[in-house]
Amino acid sequence: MAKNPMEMTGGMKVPTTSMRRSSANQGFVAFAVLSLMIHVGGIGGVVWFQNRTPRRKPVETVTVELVRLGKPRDPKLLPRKTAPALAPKNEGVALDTKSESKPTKKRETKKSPEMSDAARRMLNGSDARLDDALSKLDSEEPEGQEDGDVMGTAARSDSAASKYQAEISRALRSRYALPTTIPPSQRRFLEAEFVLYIERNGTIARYEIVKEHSNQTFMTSVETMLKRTKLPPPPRELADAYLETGVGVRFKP
Amino acid sequence: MRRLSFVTLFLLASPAVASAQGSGTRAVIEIGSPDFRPYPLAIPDARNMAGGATTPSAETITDTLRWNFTFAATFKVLDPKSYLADPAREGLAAASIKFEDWVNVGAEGLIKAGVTDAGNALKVDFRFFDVASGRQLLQKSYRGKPDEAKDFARSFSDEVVEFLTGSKGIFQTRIAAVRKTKTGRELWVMDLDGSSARPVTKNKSINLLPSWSRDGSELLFTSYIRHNPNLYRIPLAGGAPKLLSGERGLNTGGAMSPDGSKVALTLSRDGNSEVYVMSSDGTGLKRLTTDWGIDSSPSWSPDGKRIAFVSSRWGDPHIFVMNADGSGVKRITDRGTYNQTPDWSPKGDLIAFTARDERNVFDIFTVNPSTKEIKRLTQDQGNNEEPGFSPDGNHIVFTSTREGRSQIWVMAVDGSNQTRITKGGGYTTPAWSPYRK
Repeated sequence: MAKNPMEMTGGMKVPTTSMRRSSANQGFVAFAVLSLMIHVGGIGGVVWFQNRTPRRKPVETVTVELVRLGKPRDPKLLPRKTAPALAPKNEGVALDTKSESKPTKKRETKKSPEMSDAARRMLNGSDARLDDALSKLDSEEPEGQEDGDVMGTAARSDSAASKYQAEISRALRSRYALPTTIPPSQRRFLEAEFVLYIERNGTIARYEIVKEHSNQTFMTSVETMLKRTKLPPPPRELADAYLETGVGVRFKP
Repeated sequence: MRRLSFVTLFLLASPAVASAQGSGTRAVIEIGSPDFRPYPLAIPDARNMAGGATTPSAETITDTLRWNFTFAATFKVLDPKSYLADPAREGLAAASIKFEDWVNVGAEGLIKAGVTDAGNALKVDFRFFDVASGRQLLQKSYRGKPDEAKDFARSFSDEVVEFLTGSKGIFQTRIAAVRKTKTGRELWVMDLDGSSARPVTKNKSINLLPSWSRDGSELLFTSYIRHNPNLYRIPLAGGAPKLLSGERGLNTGGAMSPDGSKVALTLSRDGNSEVYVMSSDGTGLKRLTTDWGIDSSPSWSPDGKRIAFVSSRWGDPHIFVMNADGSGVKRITDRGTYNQTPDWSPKGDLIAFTARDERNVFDIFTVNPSTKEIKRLTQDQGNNEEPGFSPDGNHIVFTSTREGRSQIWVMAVDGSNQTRITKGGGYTTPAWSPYRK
């Protein structure tokens, strides 16, 4: 039978190991509770302060008056045919790699197409502030590539790889045309994926079909385009990778 | 274990790690939003298989093929002057064709024809190739008489269209129209390119508003043979017209339902012009419209459940649509002041009509019966009237005075590729036949 520890010490209270551990735990708990209270209090204080001082922007009133350049067509009248269609995309046999590889020219500052020269002259002459505003509007043109995608995610491409991929995209997109013999009902399902192996001079050395579509007209058109297209030369440091590993291209509707 | 899962979560969530994993894979560039352009097709001269100079049948074959695919807006026939291939060396078989030469002129498709013309017997071999792969996609042979050369070329053209688009070709369809003569107005029928035009009626009376029976074997039309504008049907194979409706007053605008069981028409027997429907044998007449305004020119929807018509019930004539039993009348056009002659597309998505614009000129428009969106197809080129859809819904036939007298023209449904098909003039109210069976 085990002896009572008090008896073993002659009635004196001597702290045992378990008692010392218990007291240390109590200290940690107290510290943790205190720390929690300080943090909660701090966060609460910040939230309260934020709510107490709402930072509302003052409402700005902007008066817009449209310049009268003509009158809109009476909606009761029958429609007229609009201006001629835009010029077709480049249909040349091979791309001019020199021009393709040139850096994109800085976009010219364009006048607002909605504003006639007469209106612009009038505004320039009569109101300097408006002139300033107009030049500001011109200079605030959004950054991007002229032939980029409106749904694109980057205005510029900084790395050599992404820059070259953008050039490939631009070159292929400008020649991506399919025959109208493909029924409209099938057009939105067209999809095919290729791997292009590109020579140092930009020639497509060969391609592999990763994902084929059952519509042969679509496949033939894309393959014909690839055979006729010469891409810009890849950057020197990436030339081996584009020749050996290749780059994937997915053609979609 | 818990620590392990924590690390896994961290790795998955960290974009830096994810990109590092991705750096070993091949980049994929997406190319979308293609331009759609006509299918480039090369059609070299049909070859005389007997050797020597070309024959009239071979020329007919070549001309017909080229006309067909030039007319169809979905194709672009490449200029024969640009062809690099040597016609003397190339035969019909793929092995004898140097496809590089055809790739280099921009062709994606190649149609070849070989003609064996032996007096009164004609044999024509057609081949259609995919130029990029050098594969033969279609092959067909026809035997007959030399005057069937056009029919052979049209039949093979239809085969090519069906192969590429999945829809039947329209090159064997025909156009019916009214032609003004010295003694009156007669019904004429012609091939799609305006050739082989021949009169169907020769009664020296006034015959108007032809429309086709569903099987393409008969025409419905209004005639003053009995001095009242009655509705008749006449077989194209020959025979006398049969009276279909001889009510007092107008009996016009007969239009057969898609299943061929009913005929919608305009009658004025009750004093006012109204739309009626009856069985295709002329029995069971039922009035569909009951309005004070003038109701006329019925045209069936392709499912036969609705009818488009013209009504002046709200003042100016406009295009309306109603259920086939006369219920659920809806106004479809709310622009313009004088809209008439509706024709419902076989695809169901458009109704073509004639409208007079603010310049007092008639032009062809389409309206979407669901959205009521109106599109203009002709403009600033004389008066353009009386549109009628092709059976595939991709083309429209109409009359135009842009070159003086009223001629028959055809165009794509978007207004492009406007082509005159008649000579001589004096044509009105064209109607496009159904597919030839």
